[in-house]
Amino acid sequence: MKKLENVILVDDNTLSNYVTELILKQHNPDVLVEIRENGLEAIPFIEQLKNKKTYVMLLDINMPKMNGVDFLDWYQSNDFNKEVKIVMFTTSIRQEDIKPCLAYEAVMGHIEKPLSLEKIKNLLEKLNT
Amino acid sequence: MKEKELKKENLITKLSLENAQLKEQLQRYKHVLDDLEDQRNQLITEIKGDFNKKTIQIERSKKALINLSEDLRSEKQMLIKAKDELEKKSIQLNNSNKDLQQFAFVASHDLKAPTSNMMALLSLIVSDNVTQEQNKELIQKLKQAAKSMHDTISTLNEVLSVKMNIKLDMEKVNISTALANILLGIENMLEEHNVELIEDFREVEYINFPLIHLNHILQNLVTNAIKFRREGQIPIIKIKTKKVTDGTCLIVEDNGKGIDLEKYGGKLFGLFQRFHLDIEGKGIGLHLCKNIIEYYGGRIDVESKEGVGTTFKIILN
Repeated sequence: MKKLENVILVDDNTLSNYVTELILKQHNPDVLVEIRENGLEAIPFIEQLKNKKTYVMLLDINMPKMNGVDFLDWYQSNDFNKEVKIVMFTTSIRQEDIKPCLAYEAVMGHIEKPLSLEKIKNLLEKLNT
Repeated sequence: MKEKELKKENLITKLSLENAQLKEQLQRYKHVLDDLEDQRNQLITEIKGDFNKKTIQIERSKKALINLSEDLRSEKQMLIKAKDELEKKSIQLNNSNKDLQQFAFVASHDLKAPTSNMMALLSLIVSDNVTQEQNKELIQKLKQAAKSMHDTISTLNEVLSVKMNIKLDMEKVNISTALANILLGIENMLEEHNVELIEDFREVEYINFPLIHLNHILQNLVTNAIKFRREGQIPIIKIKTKKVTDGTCLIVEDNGKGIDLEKYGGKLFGLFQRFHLDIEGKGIGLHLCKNIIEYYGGRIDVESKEGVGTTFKIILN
């Protein structure tokens, strides 16, 4: 089965980032994980991306400076040729938080924290269909 | 001639007889007239008496009506007052309901983050492919998550204890004295940042509010004004009172960083909301201020401009 290879993690909770990275490494020891602490910090990285690789972005919603929704607005207003598949990644289970995000074209789905191998497997199945 | 005389005599007799008859008739008429007059007078008296009685009755009814309408008016006023009170209570109840909902939501959300981290860490710790060394680090992180959870619970407790113990008696507070006491407590902070304080309580010197709560609010707003000062600016804080139509307005104005209200206004008084993450804070100060003020039927408004400053207006009735 295919594995996640390039992941961008956008989240202000450093402890959560630490565990998420470990779980991703458990899933695939060769995974490349880029961590940015909010939407604003993720922008330069996205801008320098070339279309070569496919990235999966785990995007938190509630973040300072630029939250998940604002980032999605920015992302949608730029034509990035879909090289990034965005998955909302949050502790929130409130539909009013999550639903608006799922309406964006680039958003592939939603994972409730914490990440697990099982959830990665489900995500891969979804991405491949 | 004799005959003529006789005729004359006869005529006289006849006339005198007629006269007597007329007199008698006149007498009779007079009696009738007297009777009529008597009847009239009696009627007038009767009518007068009746009229007086009626007048008195009417007067009495009028008084009763006036009393009744006064009663009704005061009853109406009481009802209006009760209605106002009820409306106020309903708004309060609504607010406190919303507040409790928000509290429950924030509590669950903020506890969920560390719990989620703990769950993930535990799943890593029990998995087969971690070394002893890695495990040590994971347990260290687990400790960190537990502490963050503990801190969140402590803060929630702090917020809850203010919310639970909110009902205090109103007292007449001299604002200038109250402020002086607070400034004494944060003397070091004021000196360290060269804070310039301008106070003006000439318009309203006394406020009706529980002193403990007023202290809490003043301290929060003043320390906030210092914490969120503008880089390279001496903090200037103006504190004044003003008479307004619905009570007293307490104003705290600073020349600090300011905040984009269009973007963050809705969250400014929210629980655990923080906008300057480089500055220490728990995100409960303004939330509790608003809570307390609204509990006593007041309100707090904010005006702000980034790079210019922030003004808080507290209206108490």
